[in-house]
Amino acid sequence: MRDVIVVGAGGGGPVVAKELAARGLDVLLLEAGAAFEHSEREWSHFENEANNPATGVFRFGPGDRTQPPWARDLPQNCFLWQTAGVGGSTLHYFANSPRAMPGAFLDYAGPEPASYDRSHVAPFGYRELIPYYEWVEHTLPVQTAAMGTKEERFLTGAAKLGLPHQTSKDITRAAYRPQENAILQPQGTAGRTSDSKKLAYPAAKGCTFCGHCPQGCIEPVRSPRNLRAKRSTHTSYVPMALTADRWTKGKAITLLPDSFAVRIETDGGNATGVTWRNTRTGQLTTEEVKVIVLAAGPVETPRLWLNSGLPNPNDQVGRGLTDHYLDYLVGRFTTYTGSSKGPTSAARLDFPGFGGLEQAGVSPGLQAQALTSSDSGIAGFYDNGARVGAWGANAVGRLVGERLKRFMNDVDRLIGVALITDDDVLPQNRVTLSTAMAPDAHGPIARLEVRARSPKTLKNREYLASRAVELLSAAGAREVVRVNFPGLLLHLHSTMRMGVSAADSVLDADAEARWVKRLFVADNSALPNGIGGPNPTLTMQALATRTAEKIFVRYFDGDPWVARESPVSSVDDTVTQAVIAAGL
Amino acid sequence: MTGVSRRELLERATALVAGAAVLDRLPHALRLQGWLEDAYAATPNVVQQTMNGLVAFVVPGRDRYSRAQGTKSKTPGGIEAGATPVLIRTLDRFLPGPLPLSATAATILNGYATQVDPTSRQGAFASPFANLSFAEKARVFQVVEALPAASAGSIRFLVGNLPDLVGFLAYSEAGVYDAKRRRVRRRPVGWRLTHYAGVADGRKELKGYWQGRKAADPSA
Repeated sequence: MRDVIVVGAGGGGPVVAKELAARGLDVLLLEAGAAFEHSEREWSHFENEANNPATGVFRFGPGDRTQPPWARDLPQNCFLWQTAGVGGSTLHYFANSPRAMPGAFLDYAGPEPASYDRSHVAPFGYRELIPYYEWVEHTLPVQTAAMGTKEERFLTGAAKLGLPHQTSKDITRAAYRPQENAILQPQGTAGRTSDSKKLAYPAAKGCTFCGHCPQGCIEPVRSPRNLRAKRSTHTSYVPMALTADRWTKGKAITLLPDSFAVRIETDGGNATGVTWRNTRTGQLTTEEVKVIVLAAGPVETPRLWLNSGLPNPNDQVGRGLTDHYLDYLVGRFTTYTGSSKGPTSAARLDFPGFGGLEQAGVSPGLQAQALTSSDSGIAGFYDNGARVGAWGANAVGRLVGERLKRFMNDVDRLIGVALITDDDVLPQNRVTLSTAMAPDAHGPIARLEVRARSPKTLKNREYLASRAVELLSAAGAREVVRVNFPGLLLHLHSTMRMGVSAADSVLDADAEARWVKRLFVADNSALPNGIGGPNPTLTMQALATRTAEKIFVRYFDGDPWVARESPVSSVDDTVTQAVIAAGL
Repeated sequence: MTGVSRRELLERATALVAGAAVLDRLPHALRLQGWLEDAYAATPNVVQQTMNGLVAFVVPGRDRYSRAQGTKSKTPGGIEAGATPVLIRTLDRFLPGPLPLSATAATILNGYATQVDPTSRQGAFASPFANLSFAEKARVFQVVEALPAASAGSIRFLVGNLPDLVGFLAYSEAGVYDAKRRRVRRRPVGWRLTHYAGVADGRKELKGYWQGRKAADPSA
């Protein structure tokens, strides 16, 4: 019998898989989407080819692109941005890797505790997570972002607001800083030339400033897979897991793409096996296993739980969705900003108790998509009675027609600011099974409902919007638009939340399911809350590392290692040699 | 309703309601409005004209749909960018079923267009939506966005995502992409409109590090 099956090769599953493989366990990693074994040939810098929600390489759908994407029931105006395939949504993510706000944790004793969702804190202390942060930050690795023009303008504007420059990884006060990003710093010709002939590895190493983070990262061209600039799990943790017998004395994992888990098998209160469906052949396979880790994401993990008929005595499975209630403001400048170039987001402001702001620069298609998505109607025509403030912005709402064309006249004279709200856990925001839409081949599909926002969430978002307008004005913007997103769902968390109380959480303090033993969760759904607003991936990966350790100690009589050993970086030469030798 | 008998329509609608649909709520919502048959009867011509009217609304240009809505533009728009066929393909691939999603979307836009302006049934185009002025098209979105979520959530979801999908397609390479050769056949309109430098393996854009710091301070 195999030791562990991990369901999902997105941001969290490969972390658990790699850590346990390095301990010598026999791990099977299931991924519903494509393997992406030949990413240089399969991926593209082109936006529609990559990001079209129905036909793009990075859609939520099967690896066979002649098939339609997998459906979700979304009964409100929103856009759910997820990618299936090895790497999951880290394929399109911006790689921002800040630590969480300490106020989201049990041991918080700092100022303004009431400004956090203290009813739903993490069931352990922030200090306990720091060694796991450090482990992941070294493994990915996470590095201080280099600047382009847009970051220079953004950070200069932040400094003019009188905010301090944060130089630590821990968030202690309202401050600005370059992002801590899971992107390798540029070396050699990277960032220093636009000539593609001079940008191949090894002349170029690290981020080449191509500007295509949302389209995946295949830069520098001809680099080994583990040396790509952006540290998706496709590039970092998965290659390490697949070669754990080479760079360490572990056991290489088995990776099965095109394998959609449809049922968790149980016996006597213990998880005992997984049944999955091959999306190309339709064949069902069941395998028994000692421990199961769910990491299918905050939408599919609760769906799988509910479709498996697993216990849900407090009705909390799927509830408590947080999404940072994102918004977007864009400033238009009279001079060059380089908005379409470089890492998509390389500078940020953190406001403890409120959330944060981060610079966001994208290519024309995604920029236009963002500017035409609003809950405040069409700027200049109607506002839906939306109770959001302009805070000095020149317009609120969708831009369409000539107004959109005028605003978009030069994509490199814009600076976008993504607004990331510290939002509260509310039970009515949830993932459940759809009764309105037909089941697919994997059972009843997921229904995602965003029904309410707490007064504090709304207040936080308005505060951040006002600061974003100030920031853009200080940076020199001549015109500012506040979009007021209706629901851009790309930071999703806490649908299988761990918590202090068994009454309102699904997972215990070790991320093991309260009602099914030998069953753990290691994706964003395990997070207890919105972690105060910072981008969630790093915290989820630190938590997944901690969960791997808990599994090893509890069920395999092993010893914890994070506090005793030094991590191996995914860009270490031993890993590179292992990746090359394995033909990845 | 051309070329399809009422009986055929009802049979197809019954099959749909019986469970073949992938998005049950949309047909239900259409049925409540009395538009389900219209959706099945929507010809490719009407769907295309409606989508052209939508594309011209979001990114107007020098085309006749833009002129019809009263927009004067000196530069090309979404229609010249080739966004319309990709929009239809995207919708129909997103939720395949017996009733194409593009036909559903077109029927909804045209249905509300006739509520905003009953005379829009007559005009240069077979699509009432395409016959509306720019401000009237905005009014269609206003009406849809005011629908109660409980009964019309799926309509709001579909229509609410149309402008941003059009924006994305019109400003991306979608209309001129050669999938076989993995390159654009010509410079996309959206790139021209935004003075975008285009895709690249890298850019000379590195400015260094803020205050020269290349790493966070571990002791801070």
